[in-house]
Amino acid sequence: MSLNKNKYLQQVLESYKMKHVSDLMEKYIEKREVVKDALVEKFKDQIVTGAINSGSYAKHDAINTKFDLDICQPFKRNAFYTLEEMADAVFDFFNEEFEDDDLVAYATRKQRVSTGITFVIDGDEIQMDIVPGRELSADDYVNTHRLNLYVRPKLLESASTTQTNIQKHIDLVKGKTAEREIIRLLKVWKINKNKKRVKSFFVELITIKAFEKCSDVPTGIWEKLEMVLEYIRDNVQTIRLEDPANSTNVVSNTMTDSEKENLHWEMKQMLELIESSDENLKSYFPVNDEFFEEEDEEDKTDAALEIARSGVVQKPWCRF
Amino acid sequence: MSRVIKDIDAGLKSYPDLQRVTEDGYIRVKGEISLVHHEKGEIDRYEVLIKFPEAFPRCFPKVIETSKKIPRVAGRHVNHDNTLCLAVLPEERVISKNGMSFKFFLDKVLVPHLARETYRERKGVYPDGEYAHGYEGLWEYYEGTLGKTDRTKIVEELELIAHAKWPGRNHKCPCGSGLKFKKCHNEKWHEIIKPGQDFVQKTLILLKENLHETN
Repeated sequence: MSLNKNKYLQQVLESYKMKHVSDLMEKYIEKREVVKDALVEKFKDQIVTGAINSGSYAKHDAINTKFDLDICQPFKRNAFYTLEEMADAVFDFFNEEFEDDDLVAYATRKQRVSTGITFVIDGDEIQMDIVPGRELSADDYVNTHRLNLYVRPKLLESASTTQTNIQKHIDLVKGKTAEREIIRLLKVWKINKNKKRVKSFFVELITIKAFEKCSDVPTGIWEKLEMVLEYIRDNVQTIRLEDPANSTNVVSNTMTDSEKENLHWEMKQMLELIESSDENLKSYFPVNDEFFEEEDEEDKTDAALEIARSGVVQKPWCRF
Repeated sequence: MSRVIKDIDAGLKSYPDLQRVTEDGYIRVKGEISLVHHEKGEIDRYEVLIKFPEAFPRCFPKVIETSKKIPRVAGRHVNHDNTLCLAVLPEERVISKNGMSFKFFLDKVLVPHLARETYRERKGVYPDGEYAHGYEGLWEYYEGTLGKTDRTKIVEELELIAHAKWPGRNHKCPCGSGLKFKKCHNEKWHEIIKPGQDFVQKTLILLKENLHETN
């Protein structure tokens, strides 16, 4: 019997849902609140507001094998003389604050725009990035949500600053249910095929662009995925994707030309192999075995039936 | 209008992913509806845009399923204008003729309808059947309610229901069964007249025209 691609992909999405790791999430969220409270206590006169949630969990496009509970801390315009001072103050604080914390694995790290802390709870590691940002001008943040970040130097690149808007990033995928499903599937592919050079933000932007450019978005989840894969295949080498929060941040430039060419060929091959055999879909988009329960689908169908019968109308009808 | 807005806002309290917006001067509700089962959790999720005709709350709001999870193909209940087909006309009229709250519409009409679509997607059929599109569906409704399939006879009976003086409960039923009206057609006639006499009269005109065209 041939594979029902739409049903299969729904099972994939189901097996990567965050609800399967809700117990663990509760512990991490608790830890995130500790981090937020610590920031408020330490920098109370310097912050605009408490830290805001960012990252894939806040955007509702996380998958349960790889997600982050990042936060962004907005500081007042006059809080520090320089952005570097701000970034270092946050790092120094957490480096000291969590020095003896049993749940913190490795040393607290200075990252390009953030301070990285890795917590280990019940044997699972989770990365939390704390991104400090400063208002562009006094009292500006409340209205614009814009922040300046300090970008630490890396090999052959000197330090710089960049502007961002976390709220805009969250709003970007808000309400886009269909796009989010495809983004989550592409993350499944990315994680399972170890495509670290394909950034999640790039995946989000190109998926949204593919939907925007499609005048008649198909209805089945496979057809939508196929539409996005084809769009990436055809456009990845030429497309310019700008960060909607900062047009000078060209997200498509995070990949080199040869990396884009590789991605083009991978999409082409993936589409051809799936075309030749539906079963190949499974190797690109495997279910998360840990949470894959076939009978769950049947349970859900029964649950849908129960909800359907709780209404006052029994049968649908069309006027035309 | 403020009463309608209050009612909409009250309904939205149970649906955190929906929000009221104003577009081109019109009140709309847009966002996501999560189908949540009390034990199984979230079953499915749909993105919708809800518009409110002037007659609301005495008619159903118009709902467009913007996530396009429901295939736009023959056999699925999406109108040409992309609105969802939520109920056959007489049923909609019965439910809404005295006005209804937006929460009632969401809880008892729209969410069950979307759950029905989820079931249809997974099983290939609607759980409790479906009415055919257009007039055929209306005929099916009256065939089912009156328990007969001869459309000429259905029209005759609807004429009696809509225009004639009804027999007393203890009088003989006009169908000729010899039974008292209360033991025979009383219940069916009350079911038919529920949407209102004017509604049945108007529907009767449409059905007669359709019968004439198809004969």
